[in-house]
Amino acid sequence: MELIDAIRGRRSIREYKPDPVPKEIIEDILEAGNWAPSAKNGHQWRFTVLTGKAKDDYNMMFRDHLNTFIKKHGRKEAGSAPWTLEIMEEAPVVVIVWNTNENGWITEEHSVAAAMQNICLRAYDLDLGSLWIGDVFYAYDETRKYFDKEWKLSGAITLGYPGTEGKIPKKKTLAEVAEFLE
Amino acid sequence: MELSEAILGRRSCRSYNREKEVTKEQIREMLEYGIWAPSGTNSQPWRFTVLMGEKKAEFLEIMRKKIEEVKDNFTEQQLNIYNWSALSLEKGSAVILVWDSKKTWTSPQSIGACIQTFMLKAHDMGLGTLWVAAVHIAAEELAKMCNREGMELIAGVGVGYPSDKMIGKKGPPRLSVDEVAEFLG
Repeated sequence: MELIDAIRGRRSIREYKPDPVPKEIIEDILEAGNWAPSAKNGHQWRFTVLTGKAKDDYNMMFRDHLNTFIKKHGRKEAGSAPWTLEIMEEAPVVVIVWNTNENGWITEEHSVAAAMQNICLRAYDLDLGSLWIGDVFYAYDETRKYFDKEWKLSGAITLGYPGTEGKIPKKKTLAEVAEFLE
Repeated sequence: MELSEAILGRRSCRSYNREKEVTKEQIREMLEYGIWAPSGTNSQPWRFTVLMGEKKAEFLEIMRKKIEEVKDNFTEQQLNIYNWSALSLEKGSAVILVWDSKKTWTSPQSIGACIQTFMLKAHDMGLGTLWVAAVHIAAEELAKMCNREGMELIAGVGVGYPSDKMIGKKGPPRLSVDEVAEFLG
């Protein structure tokens, strides 16, 4: 589809059909990530693609950890995480996103984010839905340990055939966020 | 253009054609799309100061003055990068300073997504862009100049019409999906 339609049409999708996503399509989507700009061309993004049992097992670990957290700190402190976990359980694909953090620069995190946006746009282009997830941070250390990674955890992205069109978020106007100085 | 064409075709542009100047309206159009990037809890932390003409010159002066002031703190290699960044930004028509107004844990990713989005739009419009982090060296002074005190300066993005040198430019080698992804099923 046209770039402008992809940018305007992409939504955060929180309901998914159970249909699996073919591997070639996932690869296509991740390839889009590889074409983001990056600090010193470092290509700091890495992906762990979870489907089937591997996804279920990870989600179970996350659920156990969340339950412990909630027992200790209360439900309110867990914010949107329990809901996010349900979405991760429903979606056929969960992509854990890492930042190799080669130099320890914040610009490397910006680079990974650029890749993640390419991924979300390309997913929408291929009639898939996606959700950019930060709530895996509730199990930050546990996720790194679980996958045995030295990298920083950037977040996760669900992928799947959307079960909903998604809500149009309320956006500030350009005048509210931009100033032109000459 | 098609999304995939924009994603594959976008380059870091360091060579501009100044015979054509980018207009305010064009930059508005770029940013109108940039703000449709996702953001944590729809917080939309991004703020923009677009510098053109005299204000762009003032920005460069501030950046160069700061580099000179703090040069003893850096190696020659580092200083070269700062100076080269300033030079690269000088070459285009405008500089878009991007600020983080919320400074929460999701801000860096939201703003990264936003910058990539408006750079893709710029490419779609036949414009070149360059994402420069080195502006942070003069973050305090620039915040004062732009009345953005309290916000964090994330980047300066140069914009302009690309020179003919950029036609068909290949760009750096990319990793393959196999090199960045593992599939666990």
